[in-house]
Amino acid sequence: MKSRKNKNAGNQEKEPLSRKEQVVDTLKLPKDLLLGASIVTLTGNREAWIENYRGIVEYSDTFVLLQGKACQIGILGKELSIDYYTNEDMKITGYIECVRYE
Amino acid sequence: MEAFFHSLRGYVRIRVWGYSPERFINLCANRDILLWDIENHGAYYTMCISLAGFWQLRPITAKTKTRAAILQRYGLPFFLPRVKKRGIFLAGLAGCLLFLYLMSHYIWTIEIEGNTALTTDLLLTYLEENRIAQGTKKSALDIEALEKGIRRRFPIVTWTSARLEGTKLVIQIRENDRSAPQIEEAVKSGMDLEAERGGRIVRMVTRSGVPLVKIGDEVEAGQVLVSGAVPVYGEDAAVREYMFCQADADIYLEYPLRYTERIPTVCRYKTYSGDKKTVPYLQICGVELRMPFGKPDFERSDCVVSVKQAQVFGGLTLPFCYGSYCYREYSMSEKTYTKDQMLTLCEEKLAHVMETLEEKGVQILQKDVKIEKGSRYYVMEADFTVVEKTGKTVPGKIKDPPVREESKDTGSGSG
Repeated sequence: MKSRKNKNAGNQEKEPLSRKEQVVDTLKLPKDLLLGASIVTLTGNREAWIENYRGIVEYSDTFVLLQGKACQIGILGKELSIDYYTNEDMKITGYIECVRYE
Repeated sequence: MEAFFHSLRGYVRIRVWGYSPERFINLCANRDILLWDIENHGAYYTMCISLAGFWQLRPITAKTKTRAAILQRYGLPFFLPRVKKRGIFLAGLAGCLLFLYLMSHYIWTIEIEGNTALTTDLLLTYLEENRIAQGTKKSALDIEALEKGIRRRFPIVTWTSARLEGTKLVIQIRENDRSAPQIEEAVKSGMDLEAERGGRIVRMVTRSGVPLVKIGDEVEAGQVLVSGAVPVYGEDAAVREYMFCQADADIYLEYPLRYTERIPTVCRYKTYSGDKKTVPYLQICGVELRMPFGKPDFERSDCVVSVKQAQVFGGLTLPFCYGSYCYREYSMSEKTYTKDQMLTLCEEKLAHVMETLEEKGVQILQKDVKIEKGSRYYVMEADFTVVEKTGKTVPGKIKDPPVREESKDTGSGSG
């Protein structure tokens, strides 16, 4: 009984994968296409290249908040500017201090 | 490249402010309007937008309750109307471009690479004979015929390649170490290796041919060291015939070398006053244009000429050379060397000689240097013992096969 309790506690800590996620994971399909996961590519702390997002929620020179398909992506830093912005991808330059998923 | 296309189509830098600038940016992206260099300035945003995109902004600004104002205009669509009024400038620009376009149809520089035995002047003269010179039309040039012509005219050239780089004709050639008659000679009677100078052989490795000397032998200049005629012996141990080849060997000679240098005790040298005069120089299509009034009236002067070929877009050479003549005034001064100065000078000269010898592949085994003071000269005598590679390829001395008497005997025996 004791061991069963422990097992349940472990399951609560780790969030179970959804059916779709399990299929994508098993078949090793691209997650960005099927799950709409955002791709964030960082080059040092000076450049961030982001794909798969819905739009900008907030933008100041210290914080950029983007709406992804599953979650929001926050980029904190200094002197942040958007090098270019299209429907597909965008590039943020500046001194990036933190990337946060909300 | 992207910036060039933006400039070609025209773009504006705008300031956006109002209720929801972020939504304004999102809507622009959704309608495929490219925005770049987006910056936040607190109360307002600045960004670049293409001219075509700017005309589509009205519904977006209305929807997002923002306002957009142009800060700056960039690109060709804004530049052209401004210069439209300046007809002469436009005509000049068009004329310049036309001139460049027309000039790009001609050859303005000829570069020859890879020639050692054939001089560049010789090749240029050959090209001129074939009507290829500065100012020849590119379309009149038949590259294949030119390559073939060079190979035919100069048998020493084994490979040639000609190509056009903008207005530059580049000819690359590769020369054979031996000319065609020499190769024929090698096949007929072989090539011997002979000593270029006298000395004692200290090292020797023969790769082909018959060595006629051995390590420790004293040889004289012109003596055959390795023969290109390899004898084939018959059953009676007599030479039946010769097989000819090109003798090949590494032979090192040890010999004494004397170097003498007379250095005058009094040295005359130029003292520059610091006065300079620079005269501009221009050369158009080979004709030199120098300013008639520019030459200075210095009593003694030397001249440094610097010339540059006019080039545009990296490889497009134009038929202009420009530069300057720099006249520098000087006076002659005399100085008598002290003993220490003379010793330093001798050491420098000796070091230079040794460096030159080593560059030539000469190994110095021993050196003995004497410096004697004369009335007007210091005489430095350096006796070196050096080791140098030798072996000059010459046509073989054995040409005729030996007379075979045995054939007669065999004939009579059988008869």
